[in-house]
Amino acid sequence: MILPPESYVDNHKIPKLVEYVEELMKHDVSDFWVDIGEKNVGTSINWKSIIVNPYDIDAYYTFNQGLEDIAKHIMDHAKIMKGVERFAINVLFKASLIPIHVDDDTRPEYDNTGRCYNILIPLYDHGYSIVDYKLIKNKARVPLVFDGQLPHGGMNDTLETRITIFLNVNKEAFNVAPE
Amino acid sequence: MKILEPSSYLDLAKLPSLIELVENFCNQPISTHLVDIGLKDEGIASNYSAVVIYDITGESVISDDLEQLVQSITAHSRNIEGVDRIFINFLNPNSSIPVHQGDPIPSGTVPSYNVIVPVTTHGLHVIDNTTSVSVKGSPIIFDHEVYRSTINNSDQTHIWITMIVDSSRFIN
Repeated sequence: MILPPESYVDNHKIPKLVEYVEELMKHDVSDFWVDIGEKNVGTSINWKSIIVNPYDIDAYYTFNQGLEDIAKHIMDHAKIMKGVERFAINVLFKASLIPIHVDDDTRPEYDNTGRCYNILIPLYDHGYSIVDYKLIKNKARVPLVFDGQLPHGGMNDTLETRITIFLNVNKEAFNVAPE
Repeated sequence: MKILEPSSYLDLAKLPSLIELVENFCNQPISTHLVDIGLKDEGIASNYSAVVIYDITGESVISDDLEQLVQSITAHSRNIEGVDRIFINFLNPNSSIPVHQGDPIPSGTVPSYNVIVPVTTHGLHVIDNTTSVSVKGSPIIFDHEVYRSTINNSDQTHIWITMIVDSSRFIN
């Protein structure tokens, strides 16, 4: 199920977050990102991720004082957004693909018992999100809210870099009728 | 804009043999015959290449070398009524083809449909914003106005046939 952005109780705090991230991304952030393909399968697929706030200090997260210095105000803003448990910035280079996947490999597709919803916020219009096998054109600053066990991915079919904010937000922070 | 059911294609039964012939063709050293579509259209190398193997419209020139390699496919294609062009597409691992529509059909031209026939099962075909996992031999049929794309979500090359077929060959 794809939820309306307004179902998130702190949806009104997203524009400020986007503004901060847009400003951050004007800097050279290449020291701060993880190459997800290299990390998972040993081959880059042109998908980098900056883990600003991790769930846990896991294999994907490396503390970086430089990021802490440059993004402290962003981290602080995310902390006042209800339910944000993890915050990443995904960078997908031109003509590249984020493979369709679910967030938790140990649970089946469409299992809705997870703790969080995903909120994806594109910084630009270019590219697509794929959620539940539907292609959804990205619209700058328009959040897309969905359960991470819906098969999802991303497609950048442009010659520009696609940047999205990715939040994992506790379901308690949403006004949603029970499924 | 129209998307047709596979069963609407009158020559559906001729596709398995075509797939077999194309698989044999793909096992030959064919790389010199492939055209990088990104390089051709935009001047930028892409992960998508194609080769025209049959064309009765005269739009594409098929070299003598290639003609030798596709003899059996050509013979089979002549027996599939209404086929104007056939090309074979190759999409490298973890790549996609931009969402696009077909070129407008010039006035006076006989209407036709695109018939996509997956040769491998590695990809996803996106038709009118809905993705479906490609199933070898299971065709997807649509007209030139339909927005389409292809995604290769795997670490293998995805191969499929595109046929341009006269609309009279479909129960519509």
